[in-house]
Amino acid sequence: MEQVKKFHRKHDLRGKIVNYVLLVLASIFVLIPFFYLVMTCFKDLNEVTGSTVTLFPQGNHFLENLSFVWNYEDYHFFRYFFNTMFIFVLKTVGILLTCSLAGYAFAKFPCKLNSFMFTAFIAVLFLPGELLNIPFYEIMVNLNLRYSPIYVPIWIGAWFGTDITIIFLFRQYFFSIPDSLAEAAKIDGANEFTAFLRVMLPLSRSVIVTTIILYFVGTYNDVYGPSLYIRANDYEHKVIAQSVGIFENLYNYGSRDFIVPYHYVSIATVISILPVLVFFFAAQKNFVESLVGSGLKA
Amino acid sequence: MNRFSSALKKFKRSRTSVFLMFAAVPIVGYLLFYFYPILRTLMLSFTDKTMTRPDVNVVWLDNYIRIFRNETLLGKALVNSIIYAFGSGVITLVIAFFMALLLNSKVKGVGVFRIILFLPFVIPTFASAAIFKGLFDPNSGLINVFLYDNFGIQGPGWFKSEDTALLTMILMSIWGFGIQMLIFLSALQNVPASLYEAAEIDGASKTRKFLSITMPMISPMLFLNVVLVTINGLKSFNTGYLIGGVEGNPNNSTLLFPVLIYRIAFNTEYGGRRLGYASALAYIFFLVIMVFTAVQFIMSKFYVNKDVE
Repeated sequence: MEQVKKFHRKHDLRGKIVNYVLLVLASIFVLIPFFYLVMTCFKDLNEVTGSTVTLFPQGNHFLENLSFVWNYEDYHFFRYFFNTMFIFVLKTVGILLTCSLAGYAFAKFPCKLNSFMFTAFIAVLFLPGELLNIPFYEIMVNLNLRYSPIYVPIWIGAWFGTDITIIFLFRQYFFSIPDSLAEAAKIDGANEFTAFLRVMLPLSRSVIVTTIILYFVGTYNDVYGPSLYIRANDYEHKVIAQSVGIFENLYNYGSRDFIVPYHYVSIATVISILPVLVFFFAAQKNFVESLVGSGLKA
Repeated sequence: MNRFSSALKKFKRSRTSVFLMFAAVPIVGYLLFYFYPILRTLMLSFTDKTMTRPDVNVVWLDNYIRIFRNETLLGKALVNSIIYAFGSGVITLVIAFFMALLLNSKVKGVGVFRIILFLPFVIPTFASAAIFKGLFDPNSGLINVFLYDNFGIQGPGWFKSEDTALLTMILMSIWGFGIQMLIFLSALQNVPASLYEAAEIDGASKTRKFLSITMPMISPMLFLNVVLVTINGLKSFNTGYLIGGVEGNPNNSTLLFPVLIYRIAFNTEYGGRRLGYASALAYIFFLVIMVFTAVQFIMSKFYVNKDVE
């Protein structure tokens, strides 16, 4: 018996070591691109275009590169950050207002219209965006809103509760809250709407947090909307997602094999992902739960 | 009149009216942003509408016929999207599952590894595209320099070569396996420990426990992940657009189906924003996605254990 236990312990230890080794190896592989990104920030043009390439930079050109990128005439990082946050806030506030109301309606007021609309909403849940974008684009061009300086085409849908996933999240949540809470508020003289606003909405904090995180990631990642609804040469109105491209095309004069100044691109990339990383590490637990819960990314 | 007003009063107090009051805006939104576009795209697909010419003719099935007869890029983009979805999906799932198994063991410091392995998923696609273009640059990128310095091998052209561009895109997408890994991990952690204990008393081996307990218990999550990666892969626009642009450089090798629709519908250089033709493509794309989703559901009958949940 003793020997069996000893064998098991020895076996467990070996398993743990193998486990550690594999995890460390995987982590190294995952971190290589980050490491290379940071290394490239320190290089100069010679070191990134092929004549004297090495993994580690030979000199330190970090400050030089940073000041070039930051002071480049077409690059306005604070503007891009502001623009991205402007879209994020408008989208998120709109979707929270409209989808929480709809989710509450679907959860708490069963009627024929309710089940009919619910089926209709489910039916379009997995529809590819390509089917919806063409008429929307047509309308925006006809209304002369395509290049709206306040990005109307990018956030207007959010104010009409068009995110069915978020409606479902709210609906599921409100199902789990007993009716008696809202009833109690109504006995105290509140109408349906104030009962919702004062009692139910504050309780759905977790869904609100999830929505904020999903929309932060979603807005930051969005390339489709900005490339369609922001004029290509309008450098004041670009968003962060487009900021790296400015340096990728720095020496692009139309020929197919132009030189890419990776040292500048790397600096711009690092700057562009800093806000996401800060947000991620600040809200890590919520962040992971929200993303795993919905499992989505465009 | 009296009857009408009393009916109105009754309606105002009914559940339907309260439902309408709360859900009015999303219902209007549904009609404007889903119902109308679905019909409008179908209508457009029967016309030769462009954004550059004012006149519109109804051409009925001409767009569809032309797509199947003459559109050389249809097959290319469709095959690219399917290879991308399948390649990226399968490899991502295998790695994610394996990593989830490693993270599920009770070793110290596992939290740190979890964060590290998840981190690439947090990086937005535009940034990871820029990072990987540098990493895989045929002349100056780390990969080829490493291959040349250590093994004297002249590495492939990666993103710059027609033969390897799509493959490199798949490699890049695998970097973000973190989300699938965490979905698997939460599934593994939800398997009741009592099941394993019972099996141990019966003397079950590790492999036996894995095949008879772990796999059936997490099969619903496996299904969710398979559906997610396949459909997301097919719908993928960002990766193709960021790597190859609307042209799908080099030589259409990175052209994904959504990028093809985008360039025909919205890009003036490709025939003047042909909305009608692009709408027909969009409907074909929709059918492809429907078929793939249906296949997923049919296949799930064979490996998803119904007794779980």
